[in-house]
Amino acid sequence: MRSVAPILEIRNISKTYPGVAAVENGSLEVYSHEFVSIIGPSGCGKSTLLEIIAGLLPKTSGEVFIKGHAVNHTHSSIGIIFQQESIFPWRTTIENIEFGLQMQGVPKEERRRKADKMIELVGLHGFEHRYPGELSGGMKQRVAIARALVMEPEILLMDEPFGALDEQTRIILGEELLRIQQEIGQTILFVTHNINEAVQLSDRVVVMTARPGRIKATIDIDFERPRTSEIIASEKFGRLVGQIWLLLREESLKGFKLARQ
Amino acid sequence: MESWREKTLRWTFVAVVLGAIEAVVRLDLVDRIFLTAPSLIAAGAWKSFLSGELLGLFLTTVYEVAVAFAIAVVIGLPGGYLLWRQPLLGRAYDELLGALFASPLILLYPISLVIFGRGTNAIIAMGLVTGAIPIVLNTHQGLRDVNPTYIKVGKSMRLSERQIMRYVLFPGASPMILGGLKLGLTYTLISVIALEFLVEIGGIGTLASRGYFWFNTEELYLGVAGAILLSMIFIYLLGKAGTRLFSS
Amino acid sequence: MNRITKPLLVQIGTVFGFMVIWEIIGESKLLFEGILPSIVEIVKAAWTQVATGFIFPHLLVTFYEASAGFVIASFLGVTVGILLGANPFLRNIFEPPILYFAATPKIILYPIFLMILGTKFESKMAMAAVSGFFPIVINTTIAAANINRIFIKVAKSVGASSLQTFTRVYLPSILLPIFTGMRLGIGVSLVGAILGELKVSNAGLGFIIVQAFNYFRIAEMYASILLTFLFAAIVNLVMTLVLARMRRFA
Repeated sequence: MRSVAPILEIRNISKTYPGVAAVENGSLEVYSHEFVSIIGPSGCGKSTLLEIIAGLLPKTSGEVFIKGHAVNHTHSSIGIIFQQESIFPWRTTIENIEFGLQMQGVPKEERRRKADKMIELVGLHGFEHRYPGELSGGMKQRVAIARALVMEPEILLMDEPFGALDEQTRIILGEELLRIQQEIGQTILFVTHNINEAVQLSDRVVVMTARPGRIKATIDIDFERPRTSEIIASEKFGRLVGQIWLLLREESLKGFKLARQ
Repeated sequence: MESWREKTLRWTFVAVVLGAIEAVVRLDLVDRIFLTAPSLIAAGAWKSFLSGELLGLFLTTVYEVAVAFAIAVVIGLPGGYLLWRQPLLGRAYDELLGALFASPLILLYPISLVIFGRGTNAIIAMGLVTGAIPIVLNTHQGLRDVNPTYIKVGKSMRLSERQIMRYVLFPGASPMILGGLKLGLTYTLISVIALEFLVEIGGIGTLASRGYFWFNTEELYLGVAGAILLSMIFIYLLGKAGTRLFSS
Repeated sequence: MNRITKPLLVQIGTVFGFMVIWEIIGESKLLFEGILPSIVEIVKAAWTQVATGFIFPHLLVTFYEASAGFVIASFLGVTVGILLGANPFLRNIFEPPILYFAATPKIILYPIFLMILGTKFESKMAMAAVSGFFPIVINTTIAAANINRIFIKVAKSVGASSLQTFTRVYLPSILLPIFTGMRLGIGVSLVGAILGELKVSNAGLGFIIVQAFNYFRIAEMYASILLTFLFAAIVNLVMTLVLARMRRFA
């Protein structure tokens, strides 16, 4: 328990579909500037939880609090990045990044200025006027990140953003993400199924159970910031990964059995 | 999957439309020369059916379609196979036939009339051409699309050329070939009915044209309804045939 | 180079061979005199029709009828397509009959149009509209039904209004399949208008073809048919080029 109020809090969030409970009694507190990962077996409802927090999916019960206020819908303090390709193929890179600002009625010059800053931040200089068809998977995700960040959300939700990318790109983008967080300082809630990634990037790792998803445990990751990928070689890293895996293994097997029925 | 609820709603919609037309005509809201009541059309159909005329017309159309389609198949299937066997011909004719298929072939019918005269042969010729092209193209494509790995499996098991063709190639290509046959039959049917209407040589399409030029509104609508009904029956049967052949 | 030139040679050879057979049959006494005029004669007749400007008023009439019909078909087709695509209930009710109708010869409805709209341009426009409607509505329905949900989520997450989501996200994402449907649609619209002209008309490409046929001016008939095909090919080419420039919507 900390003395400061959490910037994001979810209490007893449940989501049931007819006949199936996806998420059950999810409760979590996230504090400002934290990087929290959520990890769990396939189908445990982590994406569902994220979309509920983002206001894109209605919850069956429970409350979401942003900066102390109960929230039921999409909120300007929250930005979300999806696992699947989500940038619009009919817009150029910079037009994609400007999208949210354009929807909010921000004037042209200001839009362009902010988008240009984002381009520098995510390292896409030179690709402003390319179409998604001309970009690699990693670049496309950078555009998605820039598009969300340009709206200046205090909380960034990321749903397995690097899941569709190859290992090397994933590690590089992970480091970039940390660098960006250093510079801007958002709170990040990051869903992944990759334990290494979770330990490398986060301050805390939340482990979810198999469906119906509940919060099983929370592990603190006390590596210093700023972090480099060198920590992977340390003993502490291996220990933490092992610890998380033991928790996860049990749930993954349960998930397996569920799938077989 | 379709619920009976959706089906009923659809047929109710059709019934309501027909009922509305019936009402509009009976209440004399529209000049009788423009629109006839469905009940009168049905009565006319029954009379025509009894006199054997309606049946005769239907049979003429079916005959023309059958002959045109049969020839189209006889030309089309081996043709597609040939294109596959000789890749050079295949590449050349794929493009040529594709361009032909996309062009308004039906507008060539005056040529068919000039060559074959004003008779069923002209219609069969047009039906044949419009039906054969998709059959050739689809057969060729179907054979090309067969996973080359399957052929390697056949060869590794030392199957003969004929066995590979019979047990690997044609079963593998059959979905596309079947699709081509369906497409060909559809195009043949459309061409035949359209030409019967345009040239008034006989068959169900002629009824609508005759009805129009002789100011016989009942005959006109009977012709329209008859032609549409015939097409729909054909399409329905084609759909059923497709699924049947697959489960066997 | 061989991969490209060889098939090309076969194609040219085929066309050439076809023309040779044509000439041979035409010259022989196999068919009635004048049924298969020499290709030279046909080309001369075609050239005359163009050079004297004979063809252009008729071309314009057909183009006018076809485009007007096509515009109507597009409006109706896209609107109905979006409605059906977005609403599974309506789609299940109305899509099957639409598919069935798509496979019937629309020309059979022509007498109804003639009665209601008269024998001039309007009935041909109606033919063009009815013909072009189906490829457009079918393609639009499929596109609207299979819209990428992720794009809508993105729009919501950045606070776009419903109207903005519809105009800035939904419509652009289905534009490519709609245009593909339109490319098919304009072809059939054109044919629909011409078929109407072939039956009852006093102007247009179909009219001059049928007139040449009736007066047994066979070479001119072939020439007009040739020019009509050329026209259809040009329209198709233009549409294909427009479509190619839209690749980025994929």
